[in-house]
Amino acid sequence: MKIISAAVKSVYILMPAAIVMAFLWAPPAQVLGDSSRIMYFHVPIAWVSILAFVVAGIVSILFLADRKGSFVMFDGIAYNSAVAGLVFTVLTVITGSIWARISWGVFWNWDPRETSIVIILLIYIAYFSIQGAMAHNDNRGRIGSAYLILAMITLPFFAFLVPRIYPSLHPDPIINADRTIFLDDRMRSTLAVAIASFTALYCYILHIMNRMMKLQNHIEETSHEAD
Amino acid sequence: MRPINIACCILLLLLATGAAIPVEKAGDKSATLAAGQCLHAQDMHKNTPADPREAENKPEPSTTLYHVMGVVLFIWIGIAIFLFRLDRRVARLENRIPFKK
Repeated sequence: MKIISAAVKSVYILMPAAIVMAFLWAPPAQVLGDSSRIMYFHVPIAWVSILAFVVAGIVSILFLADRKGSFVMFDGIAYNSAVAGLVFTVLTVITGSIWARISWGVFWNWDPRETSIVIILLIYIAYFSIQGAMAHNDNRGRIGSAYLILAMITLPFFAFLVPRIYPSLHPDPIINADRTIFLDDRMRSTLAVAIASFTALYCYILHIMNRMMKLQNHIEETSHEAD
Repeated sequence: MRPINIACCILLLLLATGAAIPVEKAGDKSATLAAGQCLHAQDMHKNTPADPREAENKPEPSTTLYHVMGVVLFIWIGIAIFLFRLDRRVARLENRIPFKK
């Protein structure tokens, strides 16, 4: 546990390093110039949002597959991961819109990738609506987990397939059809540090949220016992 | 309805209204849009510097870049302080409350 705690706290070093590298060390892109530096924030945030939803889906599978009651808390962990994923998705939309304004002239133009991220947002907002509507339902955990698994199945379609099928103004993804990363070495290493730092940030936030949830559950149980 | 749902709905509404603005009204229009359209996927990701000598002799970053970096670092420091304090408070509570093993 202490190792996990120490690993996630590496964000305190990684994130300032990523910021300094993004602005001072990485060269500007050929066409976009300095505005391309938003890539070192937009791409890692988008990666973390997908990661968070995948974690929520996997944890939900474990929760539903559990017959012995060893993963009772996993429903809450999946919820917390989905919350973090939703926040990071909103940040992806914001950073993407800023970038779109600089390079396309408008904040939003319903590009296939923009549209697919909005659909992903709607799918997960529906999850929170379901969770909110079933606050006192005993099957809330099971239904929510089943929904998160279904939502995870749609992710590859909206995040990876749709933007590759339809023509788009969006820059080629890092993992593209040519299997070539069109990035300078310094850009590549900066992006790697940024991805590592945002992943650590997600893990850190999830770690704190899970500990808070555990405390809340304990307090609720104690107060019920006292009643 | 939870506050997070309300916030997301407002954001989507803003996105939808932003998209409804015709391109002609969205600023410096044809020039910026034409420039944007030139940035096709293949062109945009040739992100290597044009010439190695150019990369070596590149000018010092402008002051604007330092300002933006300063703002981003300032935001990060705020988030880091918040997370650190939150982590410490949770740790203190965990020590105070005896958990069932």
